[in-house]
Amino acid sequence: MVGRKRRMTLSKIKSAKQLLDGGMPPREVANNLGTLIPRSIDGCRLQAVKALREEQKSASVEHFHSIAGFAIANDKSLPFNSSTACDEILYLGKNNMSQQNSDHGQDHTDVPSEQALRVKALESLLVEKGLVDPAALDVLVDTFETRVGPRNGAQVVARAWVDPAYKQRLLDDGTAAIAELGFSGGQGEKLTVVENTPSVHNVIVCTLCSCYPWPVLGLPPTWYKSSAYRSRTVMDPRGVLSELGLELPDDVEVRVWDSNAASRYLVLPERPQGTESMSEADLAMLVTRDAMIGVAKVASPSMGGVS
Amino acid sequence: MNGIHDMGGMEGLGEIGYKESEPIFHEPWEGRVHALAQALQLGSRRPYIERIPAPDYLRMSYYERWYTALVTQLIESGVITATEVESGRADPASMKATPAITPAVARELLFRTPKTEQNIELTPRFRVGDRVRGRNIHPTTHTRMPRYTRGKTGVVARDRGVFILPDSEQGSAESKPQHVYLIHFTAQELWGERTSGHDSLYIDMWEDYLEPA
Repeated sequence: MVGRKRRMTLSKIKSAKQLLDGGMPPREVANNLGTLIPRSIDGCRLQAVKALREEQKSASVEHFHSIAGFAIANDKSLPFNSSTACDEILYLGKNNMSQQNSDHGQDHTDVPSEQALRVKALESLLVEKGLVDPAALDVLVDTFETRVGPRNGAQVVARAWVDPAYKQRLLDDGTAAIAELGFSGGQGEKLTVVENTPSVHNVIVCTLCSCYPWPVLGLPPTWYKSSAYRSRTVMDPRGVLSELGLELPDDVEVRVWDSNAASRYLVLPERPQGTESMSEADLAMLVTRDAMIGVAKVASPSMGGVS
Repeated sequence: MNGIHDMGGMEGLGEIGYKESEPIFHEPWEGRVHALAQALQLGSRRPYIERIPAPDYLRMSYYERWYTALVTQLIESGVITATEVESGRADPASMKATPAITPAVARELLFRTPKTEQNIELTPRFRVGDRVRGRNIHPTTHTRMPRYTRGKTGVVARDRGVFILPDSEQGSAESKPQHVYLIHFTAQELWGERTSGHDSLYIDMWEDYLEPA
């Protein structure tokens, strides 16, 4: 690939979609916007993501965003009445790219390739016995990789920030209010939303295992499941938060929520200052997974989005 | 059981290993294990994870634990045999099943909200505002009562409704539906003077875990 690989923004994706819908050939649209197109674009979102994974092998983050954005624009199955899908895929791209550029963490035990073989053998056995359909497994993996994640929770938070009546419903009955935005599923039977304020800071943990609100945050990150986070957060939340970069004043009440039963928790972070004029969609872009677990605050946009 | 999984309040268990972002599954096999566990619908794996011996539990990655628990669960529920796992081939005499989950069902599966709350009228033993103490019990099998709550006094903050006591077996004759309460403990009640007088902890407790204080 040659030329400048420009990052695809939501407004560019929108323009690209309009041009494509108007019948302009993909290559021409890409040239107009100074972006790249993936080698293979398919109408199906999951296939688009797969194609993107192939591209990633040699791609920079900017390059990835560029082609991901283009795939989204070209995907006729994606509605463009919200930025959700784009946001999600760009987020996925960012996650995948940063994984590619980093080493395995200390807490992620190095796994022998024998483990991969053992799992393959178990799957073949279960398929041979007629107990599972590999195509169904593909769908389940893809769903977790592409359809649930913290972007769902970010939409819930942004809505609560702009709509006081929604916020009240969310705090009264998290499951019902979250279902209003279309999010439901496993680990979501009793979603409880806890609100951060200038005087109260909430943080979530599961000391016994890995309970986490899948419908709004997806699957938990490795560090959340680490022995150290599970053991220390209940006894020394301030120490853990400080280690993760969040210092809280002494007079703030820290509330730890140990998820051990049917309840799963989502932290409603404080809306940062300087966001009064922002749209709901733009606000959602500010909300991070960490802020919804309670190990960070949402930074105001003037701070460059860094917590 | 007083196992290694009951970690709340321990120290010396290594680093948190925080990362701003990481892939959903670090290796493809992790995704397959996760999907297998979802597709087989065998019920909770947690009792099986908790039975992994502590040294192995600490050495294993998260999805290695899932894999180990899943194999035990499959063997103990009679779905596969240890010989089949070893050989990787189905016993020719075994019956061929029909997959529980088709791709079409899989597409919906993860968006179906489970319903474990029981639609049973039971008189709650405790009311919001009651002072309660975690009982000094040491179950030898699965429980959702972390040991750090034993003997500690808190206040009922909310009645969550009626759920099956996880210590009893779901669907068995001994299956015990009972009220679950959200309990508020002060940090100092749980951890002493070392913690801030402002801080607190909330946790759900089944009725059998509590006594009046």
